[in-house]
Amino acid sequence: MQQRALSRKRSTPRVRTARRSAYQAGRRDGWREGWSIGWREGAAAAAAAVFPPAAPERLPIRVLYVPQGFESIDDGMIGALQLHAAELHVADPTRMAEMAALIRPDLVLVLNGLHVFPDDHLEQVDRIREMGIRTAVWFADDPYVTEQTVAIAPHYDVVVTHERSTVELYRSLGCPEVHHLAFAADIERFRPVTPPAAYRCDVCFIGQAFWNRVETFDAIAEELADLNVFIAGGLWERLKSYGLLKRAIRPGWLPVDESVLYYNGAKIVINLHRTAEPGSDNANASGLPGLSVNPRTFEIAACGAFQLTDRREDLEAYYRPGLELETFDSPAELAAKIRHYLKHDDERRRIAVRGLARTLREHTYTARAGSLLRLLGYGG
Amino acid sequence: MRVTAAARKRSVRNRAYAGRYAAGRRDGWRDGWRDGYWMGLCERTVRAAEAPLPVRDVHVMYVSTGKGFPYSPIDEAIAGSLEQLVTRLTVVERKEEAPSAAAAVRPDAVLFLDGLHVPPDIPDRIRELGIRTVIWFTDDPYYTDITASLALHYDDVFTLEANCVEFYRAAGCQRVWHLPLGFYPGHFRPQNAPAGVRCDIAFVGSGYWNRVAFFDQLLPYLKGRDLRIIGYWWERLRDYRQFASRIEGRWMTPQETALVYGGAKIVINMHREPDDGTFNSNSVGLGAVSPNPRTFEIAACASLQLTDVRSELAAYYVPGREIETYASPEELAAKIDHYLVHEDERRAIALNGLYRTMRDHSYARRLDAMLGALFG
Repeated sequence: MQQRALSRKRSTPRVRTARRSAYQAGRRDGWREGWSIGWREGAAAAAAAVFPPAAPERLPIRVLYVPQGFESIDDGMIGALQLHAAELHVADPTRMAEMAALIRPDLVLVLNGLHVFPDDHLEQVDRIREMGIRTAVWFADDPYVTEQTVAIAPHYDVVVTHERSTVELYRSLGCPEVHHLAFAADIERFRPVTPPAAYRCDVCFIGQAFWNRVETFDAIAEELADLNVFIAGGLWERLKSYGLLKRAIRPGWLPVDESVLYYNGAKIVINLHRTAEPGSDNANASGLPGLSVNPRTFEIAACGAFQLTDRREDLEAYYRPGLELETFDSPAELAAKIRHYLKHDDERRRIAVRGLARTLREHTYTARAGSLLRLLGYGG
Repeated sequence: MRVTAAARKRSVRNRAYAGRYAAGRRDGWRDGWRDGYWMGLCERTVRAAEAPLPVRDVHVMYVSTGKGFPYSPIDEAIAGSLEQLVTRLTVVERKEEAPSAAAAVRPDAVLFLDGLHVPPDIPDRIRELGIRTVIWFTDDPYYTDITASLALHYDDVFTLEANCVEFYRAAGCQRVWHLPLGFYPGHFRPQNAPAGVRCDIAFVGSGYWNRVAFFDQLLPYLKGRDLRIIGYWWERLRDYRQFASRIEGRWMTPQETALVYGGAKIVINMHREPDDGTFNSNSVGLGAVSPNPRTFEIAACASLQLTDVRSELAAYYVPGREIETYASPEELAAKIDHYLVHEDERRAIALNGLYRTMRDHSYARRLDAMLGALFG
């Protein structure tokens, strides 16, 4: 204290003025940045607050839901079906036939039916159908895993896929009822929040380093090196410019709740679909293209985050590019838009909040479950 | 590398400045975030409350009050709002020219505001042309001695005071409606007030005697509070000297007023007494039950409004949720203390009030109701 007083005493008026103006310059810059970030968080909070929880009309049906273990989708669907169906039960994939026999539901709805599903999955489905119970599967990994799904689909009464391009494939296999339906956002989980300072950054990407993503990030690595970047996911050591971005990378799987904080803390969240090209990263034997958007599209928007996404053909059915999110078709365009939107706070945050509002209006699981049940012929 | 003494000194100084810059940046970020968050909340709430109004295929002529300041803002508000609601609007600046202008363009209706200073032969001459004349009394019940006879010269009478509807009917008017005033978003809306105009508690308005008597009791509770009073006649206060530094005896434009409202955490609203002797001619002693326009204007700026209670208030705002009320200086002082500490509650009510105001209480919405009454 005493030392400080002494040093202040020694400083000349000119030094004091310079110190003060350095402080003021910092204040001005800080204020502008804080304002913009605060505005987004406030507007997003208000947007979320004006959408009261949906209260759909309950249908007189009993549904047995079999989760895949994709927690964002499963939790969203379970919450939504609880609102839509008079009765909802959730069964573990290993016991779905047994549970169906006990519960006698009107519908068994299986999410994806891959990965954690047991070897007798299809025999169980056959047994359920023999009981006269309607079965439906909703594929979430199309078109990347069509090698496996073509074997699964014919066992179900109804096939729903989030990837439009695969609808014809299942029809060609003789599946009698095939629908296309996109996923959505679990807005209980993906929502606007004010994250702790440690979660704030300029640019954020969360996901596995599939080769198409590696190429894109290698192409813009120089651009990103000067920014505060956060990348989470596996396989990022595939990057040629790994050394340049290493600091920004958090390897391995990121818990969903942390993704929410990073989406909220980032000025720009990149969404880059994995390639649909058959090859090292997928089992897309059909070679069908990816036309539809990933669940992440909705989840990023549901956080009220500014999203820069590659352009899938279906995108405009869900969000208006330039208004509710932004798109890129090449690494060069991605880099240019990162530069542009880091400078244009006002545009960035308005787009982010509009994307949130659209999501809350149309892309919640409550809305989607309603569409699904209508597609399946229940209710209006 | 040879480092000179001067260079070393400069580098030390730069480092010191970098520290000051970083400190400023931190402080600025925090304040900016806080202000930005609030404005984000407000602006989004305004957007959420917006609902499009129909455009009617009618031609309305609006006759400016022509009284100049301080009434010109209301002309701007009415004309600006009408413009969005009708396919054709003609604004006449001088009331004397209204009959000839009406004869020339033949509007579907001619609207006068207030009307105290409009000689009755003006609406009479327009009516002779077979054109509908409409008056909206905006100072009721304070001048009912005069308006009672004026009203008969118009086809349609609107009064902001619910209590006056029966009064005009009794006076012989056939078509009378209650139509409260509103606010004009072009003047009043949430804004980020510069630091210099911010305060904790604000009151804007003239020192009518009832207000002076009230503030004489209130001010002892507000000693040391960050208070601003802006308006004429406050030297009537008992403790005027003590509070003189907090009082600005001037009139403000709506834009200035909006900034004061927006910059204050709490804005006090206090209605005039219907029998205030200062400027009234209300010998019938009609009571006042409708809220003043200020009620809407304060709420439109997303400030927490503490208002005295007019009996109709609850038709416009839910007390305790969209607005707060007081019935005595003690209650007002206690609520000020409460809301200055409970910032979350203060903001929640201010936001709810903002939403309600934007949705229900704009001039455009009022005029839409008027056009509905006139043209269906």
